[in-house]
Amino acid sequence: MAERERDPYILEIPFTDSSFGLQGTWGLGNQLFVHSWNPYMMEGAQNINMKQFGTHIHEVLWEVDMHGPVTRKLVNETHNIFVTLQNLAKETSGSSLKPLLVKASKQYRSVLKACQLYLRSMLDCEESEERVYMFEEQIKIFDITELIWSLCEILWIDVAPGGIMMSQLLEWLRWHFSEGNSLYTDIQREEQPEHHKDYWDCIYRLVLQGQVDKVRILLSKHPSFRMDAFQSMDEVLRKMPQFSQLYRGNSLSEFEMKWRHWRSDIERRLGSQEFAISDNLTIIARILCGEESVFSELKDLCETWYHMLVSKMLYQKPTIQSIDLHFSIQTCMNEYRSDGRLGEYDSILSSAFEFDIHQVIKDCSAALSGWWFVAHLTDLLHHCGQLESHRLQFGSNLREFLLLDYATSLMSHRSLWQVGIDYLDSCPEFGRQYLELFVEKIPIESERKAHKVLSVCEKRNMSEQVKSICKMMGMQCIKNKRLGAALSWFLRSKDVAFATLIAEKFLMEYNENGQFSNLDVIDNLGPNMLISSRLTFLGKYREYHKLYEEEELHAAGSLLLSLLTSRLAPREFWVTLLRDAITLLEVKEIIYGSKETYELMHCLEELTKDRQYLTPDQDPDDLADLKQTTDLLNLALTRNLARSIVMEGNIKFS
Amino acid sequence: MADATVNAKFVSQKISKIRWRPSHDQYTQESDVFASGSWDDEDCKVCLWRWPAGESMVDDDGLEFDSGRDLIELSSAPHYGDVSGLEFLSTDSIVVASSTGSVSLYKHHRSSQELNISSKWEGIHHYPSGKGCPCTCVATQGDDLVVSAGEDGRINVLNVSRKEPLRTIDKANSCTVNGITFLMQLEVISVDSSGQLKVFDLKQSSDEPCKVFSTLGEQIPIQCISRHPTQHHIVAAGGHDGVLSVWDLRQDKFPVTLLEAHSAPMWEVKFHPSNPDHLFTCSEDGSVLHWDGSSVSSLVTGTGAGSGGGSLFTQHSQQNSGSSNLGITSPWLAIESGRQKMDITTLLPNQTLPVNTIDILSQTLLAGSDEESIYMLDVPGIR
Amino acid sequence: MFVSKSIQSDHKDLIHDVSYDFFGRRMATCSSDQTVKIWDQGEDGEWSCSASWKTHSGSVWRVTWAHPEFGQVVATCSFDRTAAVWEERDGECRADDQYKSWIKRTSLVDSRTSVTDVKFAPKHLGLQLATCSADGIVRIYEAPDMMNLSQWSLQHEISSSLRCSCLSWNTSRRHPPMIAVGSNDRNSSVGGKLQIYEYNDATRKWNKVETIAMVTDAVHDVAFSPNLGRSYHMLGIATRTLKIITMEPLRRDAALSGQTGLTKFELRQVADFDDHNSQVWRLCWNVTGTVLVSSGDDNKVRMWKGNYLGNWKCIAEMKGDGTRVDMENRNSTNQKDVNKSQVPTRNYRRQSDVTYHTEMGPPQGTMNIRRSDGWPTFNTKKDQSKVNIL
Repeated sequence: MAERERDPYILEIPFTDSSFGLQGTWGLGNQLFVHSWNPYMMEGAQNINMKQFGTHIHEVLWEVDMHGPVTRKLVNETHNIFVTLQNLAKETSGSSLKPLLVKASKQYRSVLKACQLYLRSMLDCEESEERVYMFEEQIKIFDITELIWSLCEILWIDVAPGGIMMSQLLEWLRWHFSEGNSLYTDIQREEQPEHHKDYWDCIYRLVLQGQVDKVRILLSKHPSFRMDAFQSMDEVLRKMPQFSQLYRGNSLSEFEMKWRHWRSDIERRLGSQEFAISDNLTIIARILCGEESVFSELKDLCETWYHMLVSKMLYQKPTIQSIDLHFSIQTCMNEYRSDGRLGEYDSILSSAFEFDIHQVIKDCSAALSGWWFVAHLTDLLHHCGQLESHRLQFGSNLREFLLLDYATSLMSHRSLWQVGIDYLDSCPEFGRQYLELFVEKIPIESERKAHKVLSVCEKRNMSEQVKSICKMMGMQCIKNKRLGAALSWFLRSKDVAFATLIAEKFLMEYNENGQFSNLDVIDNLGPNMLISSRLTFLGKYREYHKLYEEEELHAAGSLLLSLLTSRLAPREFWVTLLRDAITLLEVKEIIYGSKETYELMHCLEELTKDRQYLTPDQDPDDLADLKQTTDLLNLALTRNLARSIVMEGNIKFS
Repeated sequence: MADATVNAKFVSQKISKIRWRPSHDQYTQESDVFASGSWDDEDCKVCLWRWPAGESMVDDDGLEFDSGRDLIELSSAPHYGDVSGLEFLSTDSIVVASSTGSVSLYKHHRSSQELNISSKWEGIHHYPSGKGCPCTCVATQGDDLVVSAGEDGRINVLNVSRKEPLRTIDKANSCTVNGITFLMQLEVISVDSSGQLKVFDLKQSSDEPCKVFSTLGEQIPIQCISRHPTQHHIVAAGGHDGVLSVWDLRQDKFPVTLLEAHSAPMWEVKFHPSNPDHLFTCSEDGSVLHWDGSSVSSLVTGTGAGSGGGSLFTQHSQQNSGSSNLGITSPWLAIESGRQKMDITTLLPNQTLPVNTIDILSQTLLAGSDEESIYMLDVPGIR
Repeated sequence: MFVSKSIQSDHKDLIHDVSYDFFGRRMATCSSDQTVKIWDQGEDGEWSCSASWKTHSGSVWRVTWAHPEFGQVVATCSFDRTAAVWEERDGECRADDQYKSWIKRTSLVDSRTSVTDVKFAPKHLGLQLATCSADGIVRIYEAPDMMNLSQWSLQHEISSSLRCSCLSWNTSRRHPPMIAVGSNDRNSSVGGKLQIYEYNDATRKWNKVETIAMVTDAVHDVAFSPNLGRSYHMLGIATRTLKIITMEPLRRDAALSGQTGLTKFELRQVADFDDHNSQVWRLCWNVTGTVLVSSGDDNKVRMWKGNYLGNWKCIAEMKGDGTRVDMENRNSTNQKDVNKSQVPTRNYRRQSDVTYHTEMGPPQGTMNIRRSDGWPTFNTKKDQSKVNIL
């Protein structure tokens, strides 16, 4: 079948002169910003009359069908069914998967139905005309969607054994064409049912849907029921073979034989004028015989060509196989074509009856807007094996293509991104790539949301994205002067460079103010400090402070020395450390022995040699200050050396 | 134990907070009204719902279900920014924290079922630039005292009758404060992203915490905290790694027990208000767990059941002898010895999206999730 | 498809470029009025102008955002022969001087002619940006310390010998850094108007690897599509027609490229549309590189999408509705009203079966879905899993 191409959709932008240029820029997802402009200006054109341009920027959105409060229920509820199904499909295969797929399909439909009912209930209490219109449109769409879906379910998902699906089709009819049943309920309540103006219409409708039991009840209420003609009809209806027999062990040929017997019986009765006294009964008999012309006469009661198709097949060829249905489509469609009653949806249904899955999906995605329906249906068909290569060349790609489009429309919504991600997960080819692009673009307003986005990434081993998001959060904290919080983000992503940067900021702060801020974080670094040597130094140096405060001077002293000798301390911090050493050298008790003192002297010497740190580009005051420190230190060290040698000598000799 | 009945309702908003309204009547615990707050949407809302008591019926398959029981929306009011905290102050007033840095007081007028903001503390959480910074949690005490904390590491003490905060602890934390709760009339405990618990005495003028507790090892952020309803020295906290930790605040600075259960951040933990041997948690991994400690307490008085097989949970005991000296009255401190049985039940199946919030009153547990649904679970066997 | 809202930009002259930040929550606009405006989307979804300042002494052609890892940074380029980098001072500004909250970190003054395009490199290349100018020179600058945005050094100058109009970085991580540069030189005899440059790590030089000969008309805009892990690169080109080409790197053949070390590509044109009649001026890919929008001489914006077979086709077009702008009205709107100046959507929605509603905003009601056969019914035994801890 030739592809039915669709023309591009045309949108008019308000407040915009059509004789001037327009420019479009993408937002996130399905969002475009359009404004007027003139390219020739950049080319050097002058004197463009500004009055003719708009300086409005217009936000254009599309595929927002799933963003309304009612459809959001649909999105969220079916999401769970979808995810469950994907997991089941991974674990199960073949015949054990089929009942699960049927169940899923029914679940999808029941959610759809529930949303539809909900919309109906809202319609009743809605006053705004625009809203009412919107609801009605939405209900109509849901209706059609459900109609198509349930047909597809019969044809491809819940396939009856041998392809004999007449009883399913009848149920499909009863579900979607409920006029007969509701008339039936009304008429039953009447005292004199036969006087109801639709008494016979109702009976025909029920006959056309194969609801013979109800027909018999209605007929039995007729005052002439005792007459032979009525009795004969009742007998015929009672004897009509039931499809349930087909499933209860009767073979197909047995059933067909029974049906032929039954039909020849009624043909005989019709031929012998048994129903001649009543035109109405004759019509019923003609339907039961499957007489071609009677269906045309009753085409208004059939309402649509597909109702006619099923009714006709019921009485003409009840055991027809699904693949043979298409032979009769055209005659039925022709009945309705003249009235102009055929629309876009009819072609979808006819494609379905013709078993052209590809065309059904294609037309549905064009006609039904939004990707919810096609994405889920295609996924089901894919799992049913109906999109295998012998039927379609590019089956699995089509599934992924539609799921990606659906996910994209969800990712365009502020709130539905979490649902979108699960759909991307089930796209083997591009899902991951899409996710990587989208996930970094999810706006993050709070840490809680950041944690949620990070959880998504971590679960999927997206380390690149984790690092990027943490870096962004950390940078934001730095901007907001929350260094402690910034550090926690960099630690989370094990970002050595930035953890070092924060450690340096802390140290700089100490150098300037002589005290640390963010002590609660620094004191609680634990093993985390090991990710960066600068952070280790910070943690250890702070430990030295604590020891000093607790007057654990020996421990403090050896820690300080080890910070210097292990080269853990950055060179520019040595002066500060050596200054700290002075205080330790001056206490009464000897903290550093001769060996340690030598080591300290060695450090000082090394520092003095390294001119870079002794003659920095500082003002003379600082330089003098530095000079004073070294002098002081030299003095203190020498004194301490003397003291320690004396003491060590004493120990040795005593 | 009988199974829970779960009712789900799709509400077209991702639920960040859910709380039962305190009972009007002091003597019964029952309530059928609760409040919810939503997040991460163009228009977030605070809603009040009624969940009427239902009659149980048995359907064709012999399964029990409630008939004609439907969640009713009583009223709703818009909220600017994500709802990051929500607590009832009294039966008709709700304190709501916003990701924009404000805290609002919503009043519910029963006669008209109207819900609206009666007062608002604008921008009480902010950065040095003055830009608003997400408030992350609120807690209430009595019917007029509120504390709030935020990503700015600030703690505000509010009185509903005053426009300005009574007190602000500016540098309460260098990291983000994720949860806060009252320990006593004027004492609060906060948990933060550096994995610490800090107790602040609001009577003291010092901004320093009077006690600090921390987990060992790496700094795992703590996301939530709940105080034991009767034994105020016991608190349970939920970690970013999904670990439940129980602390005895009379003890040293480390947790009594660490129990691994969730595979992702734990967003809320709740002791059952009247039956504190039961504890409930929910998590980013989409699960809601019921921790039943009642069997533990019964075993404590016994000879000590022998252990069998490997433990599913890593347990961490700091003070092996500590708690027994104090005379065990709570199963939460008894499990440390590692020999007692703790039943853990998954309450919500098939849930793929995160559950952000839970609350329990009497037999009904509420859960709010990112799947834009509210779950109402009947948990039998608890009163 | 519908116009959901219209924002009065309040620019006093033509807008040349609108650029979104990484998250689509902030927008920068630049105009011939020499200013740049920053727009922020509030929690309620409304856009409001948070900053507006004079950036250049000539028309501002382009504005572009750096990756948020580097903070809140935009770059601009102008007719005044300079490009500039601006950073938002977050911690420093007060509410009252919001219009000064963006400060100039650097002015890039190397060009002697109008700077026609400026683009930040993909973030994995660090903080780099490329400019191109009418004198045919592409310049690549780098800020070695991302905490200090006032230090930019000119790393490379590439002379393309044709006046440049536009450039685009390839965002693919798996290939060496690559830039496409377009020229709007109208002389079609000088050959291909689109050049591809690739950075060679070993020589630390940018080399021209390809001149796309199939593009001989003036090129007004060029954009690499996000890579999606494909082996080939995809380029959208706005020239006399809208072209989409793919470039598949060929395996390095020692004999062919051994001496030069240059990558060779197999070029393929996947689409060539002349719907815009004459010139196509601008184009822009969506996040995933699956839909392209173009604007052209027919005064329309068109949207193009490839199907699952890789066939591209126009799926939508946007055009002015012919109404003139009410200048008086425009001048009278002040900042506050601007934010509220939403155009009611329904008037501009066309009845079509493609879209049938915009938003469903009915009051919240109740719907408790309770079906015996379907989800959700939880009251079965298997839903309960019990775990014991010992």
